[in-house]
Amino acid sequence: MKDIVSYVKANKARLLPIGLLLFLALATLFTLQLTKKRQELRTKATAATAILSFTPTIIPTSPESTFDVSVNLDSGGQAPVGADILVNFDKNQLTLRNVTRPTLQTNSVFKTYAPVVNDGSGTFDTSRVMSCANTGLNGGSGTDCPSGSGVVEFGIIAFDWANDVLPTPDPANTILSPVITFTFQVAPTASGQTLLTFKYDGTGVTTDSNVVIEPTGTGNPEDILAAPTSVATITLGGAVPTPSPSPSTTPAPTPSASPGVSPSPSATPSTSPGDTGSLTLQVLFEGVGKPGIQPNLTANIELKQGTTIITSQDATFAANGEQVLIQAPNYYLWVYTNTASPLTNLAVGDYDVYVKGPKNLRRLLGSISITANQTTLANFATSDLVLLTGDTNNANKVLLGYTDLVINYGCPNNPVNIDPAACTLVADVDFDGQIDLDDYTYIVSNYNKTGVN
Amino acid sequence: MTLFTVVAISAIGLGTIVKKNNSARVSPPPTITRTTPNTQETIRVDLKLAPETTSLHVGEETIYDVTIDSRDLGVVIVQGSFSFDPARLAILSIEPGPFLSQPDVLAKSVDPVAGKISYTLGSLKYGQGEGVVFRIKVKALTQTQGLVSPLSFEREKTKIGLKDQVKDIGFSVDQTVILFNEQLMTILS
Repeated sequence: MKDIVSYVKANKARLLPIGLLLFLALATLFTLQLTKKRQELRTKATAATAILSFTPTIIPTSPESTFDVSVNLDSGGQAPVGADILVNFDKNQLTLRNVTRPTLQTNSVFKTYAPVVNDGSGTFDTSRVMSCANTGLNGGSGTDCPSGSGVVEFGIIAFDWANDVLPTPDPANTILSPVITFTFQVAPTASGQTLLTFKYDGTGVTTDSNVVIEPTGTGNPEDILAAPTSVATITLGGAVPTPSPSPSTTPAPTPSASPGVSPSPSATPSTSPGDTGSLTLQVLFEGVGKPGIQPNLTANIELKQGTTIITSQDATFAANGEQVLIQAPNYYLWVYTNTASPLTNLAVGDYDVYVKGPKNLRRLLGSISITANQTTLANFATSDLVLLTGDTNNANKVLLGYTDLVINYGCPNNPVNIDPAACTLVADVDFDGQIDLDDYTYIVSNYNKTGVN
Repeated sequence: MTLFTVVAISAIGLGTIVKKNNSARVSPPPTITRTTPNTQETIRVDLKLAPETTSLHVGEETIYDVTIDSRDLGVVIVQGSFSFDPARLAILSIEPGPFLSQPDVLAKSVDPVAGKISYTLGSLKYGQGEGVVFRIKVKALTQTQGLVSPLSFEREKTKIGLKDQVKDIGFSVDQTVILFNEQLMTILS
């Protein structure tokens, strides 16, 4: 938002006379009506319905790797005209490498992203955003970076720079997902865990994040941002946090990525050498969820301690009748569990859990603790731990399967690139018995993605 | 739009205008739930036959563009299904347009008896915004009495696939809307 100085400088010849006239007129009106407006604001205060959030919220990484995280805005039905968004990050652990705004469309709510470059074009000055965030300086000066380093700061405005108009706010179009996407790189020496948070300093503070409406009839912007609670947790060692090894069988602190991990029953056991326990998982297989189509699936479960593979077993998973809503986009996946074929005789201890579904990429789901003589139920059926699909040739990468997909599209009934008698259904990732638009969409959406080793 | 309006909006972050209200805070929506979501997105994509009105003479040929407007949504596959009046039109060809880069033809059939066209294109490089998906070349066969609609979308069978948003499936709770137009034609003797 601090770009207005740059904007005025770039356009002062055109705008100065208008600005002076309007300033004088409005300053007079403002002075005359100051008391009245204060009263109106108290009586017309609007609800703080706007919510800022991150996607994803759990981000496993490794040193020197990059990752994307998006910021979403739901204004709660009110029509915003602008927003300041400030995101705190640890500059010693992360470097902001890229800032990507959505492609501007005719129905985009926010048509201008600030700061803009100083050429009158209204182009989003992403270089300045990154420079300020990483160094606190822009062009060698800190003047453009009021929040200093370690804060990504930008603004979004409904103002249509290209057409020089302010569109009427649209209350039916108030969910923006994403508003922006950041690409961070993890520092080579990074370790542990770090967080992304929204800078929000409380009521009345105007140097933090804001979401603004212009209530009808007042002409006065009001902030409708609720205190942000969304936090993005970045694990910097390539894995979700692993509890410290402990000789005790006391259940370890639940890692953030596996909030449902809990031994059952809950009685505290005593431990003896050689004690064992069992494990069942709840997971989400992307692609499996069409009504009436919940086939049993065979998936590989691998338990590791550090780099040591303790066990690697195939288990049969079945839908348990529950569904989980994935946001956004909004759709449901069935919860699958291996309750009927749990992993048994597992030595008491802490393990990292990796799962690979039949056509899904292998993924580290989190850490669990096996307790003596108990069955641990690890609930990894959360929206940020979906096992991505598209690995049709069991390469743990969605790549070569594309050829199969194109050749066999339309199989088994209406392929155009292969004789129906030669059809194979390896690209049928949603298990509905045909290779169609849904399979294509899944595979292309995940194309070139790789599972963890 | 005035400069002052820009200043008023842009000055939010300068600490000069914005006023925080003291009403109760709203909790953010959960990221996981097993109940109906409190938000439902409407995903809208426009598919049109262009031009919308045409006047041809018997024996004359023309090309219809199947245009798309996906706004900011990435489209990876378009499954087009059309019906046509074989007494009035002959389908000479159907080819990819430039909207999908380096597309793969996944389905292609023209039934001149039943008057059905099925054509599906997919691409690893998703298309976005406005563009021409298909081009259908036709030939006028018989004269019409006024405006008729001899070529139209089969709306139930025409689908799109969006990158990272597998919407067009049964368990989606988002509302996916494809808006179609109607093509009108006059064939003169």
